[in-house]
Amino acid sequence: MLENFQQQFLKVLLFGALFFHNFCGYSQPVSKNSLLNDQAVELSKKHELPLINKIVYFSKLKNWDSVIVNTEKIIPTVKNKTILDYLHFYRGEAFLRKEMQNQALKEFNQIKPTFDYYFKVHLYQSEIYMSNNQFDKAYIEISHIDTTNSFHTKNVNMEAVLHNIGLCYFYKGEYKKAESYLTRAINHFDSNKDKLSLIFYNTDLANVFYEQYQDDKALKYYKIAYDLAQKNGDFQTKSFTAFNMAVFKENQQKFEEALIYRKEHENWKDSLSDLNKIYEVAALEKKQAVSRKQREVKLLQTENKLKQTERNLYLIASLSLFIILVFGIYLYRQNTKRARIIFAQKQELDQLNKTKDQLFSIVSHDLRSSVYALKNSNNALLNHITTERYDEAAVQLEQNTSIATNTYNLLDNLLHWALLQTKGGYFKQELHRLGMLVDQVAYNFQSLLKEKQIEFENQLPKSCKVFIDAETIKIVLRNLMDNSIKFSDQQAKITVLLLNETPTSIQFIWRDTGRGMQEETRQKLLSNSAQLTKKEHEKEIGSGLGMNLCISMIHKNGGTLDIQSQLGIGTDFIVTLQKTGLDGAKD
Amino acid sequence: MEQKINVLIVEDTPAESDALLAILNEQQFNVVGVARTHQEAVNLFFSKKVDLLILDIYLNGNPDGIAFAETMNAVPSSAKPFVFLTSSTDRSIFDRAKLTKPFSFLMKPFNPLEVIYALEMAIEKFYGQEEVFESDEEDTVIGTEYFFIKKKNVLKKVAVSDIVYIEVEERYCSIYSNTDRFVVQISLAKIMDQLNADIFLRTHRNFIVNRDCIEEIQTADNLLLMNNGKLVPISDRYKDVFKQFRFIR
Repeated sequence: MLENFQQQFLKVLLFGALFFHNFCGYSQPVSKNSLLNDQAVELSKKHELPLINKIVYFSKLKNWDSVIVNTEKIIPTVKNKTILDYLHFYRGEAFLRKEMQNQALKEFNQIKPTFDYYFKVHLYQSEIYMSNNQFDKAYIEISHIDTTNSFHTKNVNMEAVLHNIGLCYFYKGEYKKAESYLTRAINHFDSNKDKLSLIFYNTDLANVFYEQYQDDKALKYYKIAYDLAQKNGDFQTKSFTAFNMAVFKENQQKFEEALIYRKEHENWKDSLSDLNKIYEVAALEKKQAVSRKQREVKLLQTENKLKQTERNLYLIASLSLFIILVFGIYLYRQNTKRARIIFAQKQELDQLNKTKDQLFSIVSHDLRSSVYALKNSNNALLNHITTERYDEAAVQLEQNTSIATNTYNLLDNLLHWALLQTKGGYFKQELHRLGMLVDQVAYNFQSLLKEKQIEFENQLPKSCKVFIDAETIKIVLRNLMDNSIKFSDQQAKITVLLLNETPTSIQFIWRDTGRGMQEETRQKLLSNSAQLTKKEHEKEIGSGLGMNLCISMIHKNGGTLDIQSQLGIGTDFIVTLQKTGLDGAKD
Repeated sequence: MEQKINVLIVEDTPAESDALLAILNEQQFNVVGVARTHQEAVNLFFSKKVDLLILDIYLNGNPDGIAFAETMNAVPSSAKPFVFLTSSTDRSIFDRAKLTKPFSFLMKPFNPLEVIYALEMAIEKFYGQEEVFESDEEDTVIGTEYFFIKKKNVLKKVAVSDIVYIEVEERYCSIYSNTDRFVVQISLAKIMDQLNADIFLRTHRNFIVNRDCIEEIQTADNLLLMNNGKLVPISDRYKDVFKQFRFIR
């Protein structure tokens, strides 16, 4: 910019005159487009071409690129000549403002002379020529504008037009006309407008006078320009008005004054350069600031990334923690579940162990006493034999057999009880004739019954069939028989009779006319707890194991046991057994 | 005509086999031998005519009884009814034993009733005719070679080949041999079902004859002269049976 200025400055010196207006003369808009715009908008509405509206809008915003692009788009599609004129006009204007003057000229040349605003085309063309210092051509074009035509004056910036005409005359050397137009331009100037144009007008007018060697008038307008610049101008205008004054004074040989102005000019120039320097510094600073900002942005980005990574890390960590927690809870629950199961099992085992211990104590006690009794009996037997008392020996031997049988039964029960506990016994339910089984069991007790003179009667009909495992039911029958014999006195009677028969089950009674039992004992027996009942009749061998076994075995066969007893009269064991399997199969 | 049933005892403990011997003799069975080992059992089984076996599961501490049953069952034509003898219902033993079908067993200690019951069950299961010997309706199981008949609580057998003809009278059947007449309780339907239809022919609502024992067909009188000298009637309904014979006219 500075360089540009200097170049211009040099030019001024060479001509010995003041040519700053080259730049400034048409910096002011010479054309007012509001009417034209309105008309264009109307056309857009009429022909339903909203793109024109858009072009007008961009043109108002001085968005020239958009205007160029949009006109290029729309021109091939439009046939209407009037609209085409408008479009070429906008396109030309846009090119002009983008300083593509050849393109602008091409556009303008396509506009028909019948175009309502064709004078504007002339105006723009003159502008182009002026910028190319072709003042003759510029003048021809600009002279098409009629300063007296109100339609023209409304659509152009009048003082700018006057100024331009003045300038044309100036460069053509027609100073009088130039003077007249420039004066009109200054007079036409509206005080509200930018004072900067006024400075140029005054300067240009001063130049005109200066060229005509009318130094007084020139001085007057230079002074006006100078004063206006002092009041309203920027550094550049101040500088050049001061410079103009300096050159002028120098020409008048008023070197002192010239020197002052020159100094002032230098000052303003310096200021300008300072300003430029400041601008540069500012630009540099801005650049630095931008780079700093960029660095900061980068830093922030990195930080952000870091934060994101961190956040992700946290997320993953919390997620994994959660998973571990859930897993932990799961494990804990599994553990407690297992612990509960183990506890239940432990309780069960404790109970079983307790039962087993009790069993051992009872059994060992019973076994011990019965074996002891056998030993004593054997001693007595030996004694009888040595003393040859054979009748007594026979009695003793019978007693021995009885004791042995009892002990055997006890041991047998113990074995079956053990098998039951370990669930290791063979078990297969089949159809059997109950009466046969009773007979088979009773066969083994014949001698015992005979010895106690107990009458046994099996009244079960032959057709009475039950679905059972024969071995386990035999154990039940054996124990019932054993019990009945044990708790019956001589000449008692044991009867097995059918109580009830349904299509699915058979109920029979094992009846003895023995000593009976108390209600309490009955309840205890039926409770079928793992706890073994204490024996009631101390003299007899018994552990309660037998009854316990009976109930378990009957249950296992899908039956039930009930006891009815009256002390001193007898006991009824009522057994119910299934006739078919649960699924009805007779297998 | 009726014969004792031949039993083979496979038992290594003399006390047990003696007890069994006593009971079986008492019950009029014919004990053809007592085997102490697996090998002896095999020898006796194939050298004697055996109808029924009592097998101790354990022979000298080994489950040879089961092994023997398995060998015997491997040849179905030579298989015979048998009873396992055991002292315990321990499942570990039974798991293998019960695979040898038909499976029946006798627990030690045993009394005669139990022994007989077990043997009867074994025969019934083996020939697939259960609920016979303990019922009031029937007393005969028809085997491939023999009829097993329970008469007055004693099991006997009658050889199928000895039968000349069978006469049905209500619930009873009279089995006629060359010399004898034997009455059993069995339904005619069951006899027809079980007997070999190639040998036994039905000639009348009430008569079944052994075709090998026919001496003469008296077509004029519709009678059959059997080789025991008895005459068996032929009813019109069953006449067609004799069309299969080629008559010499």
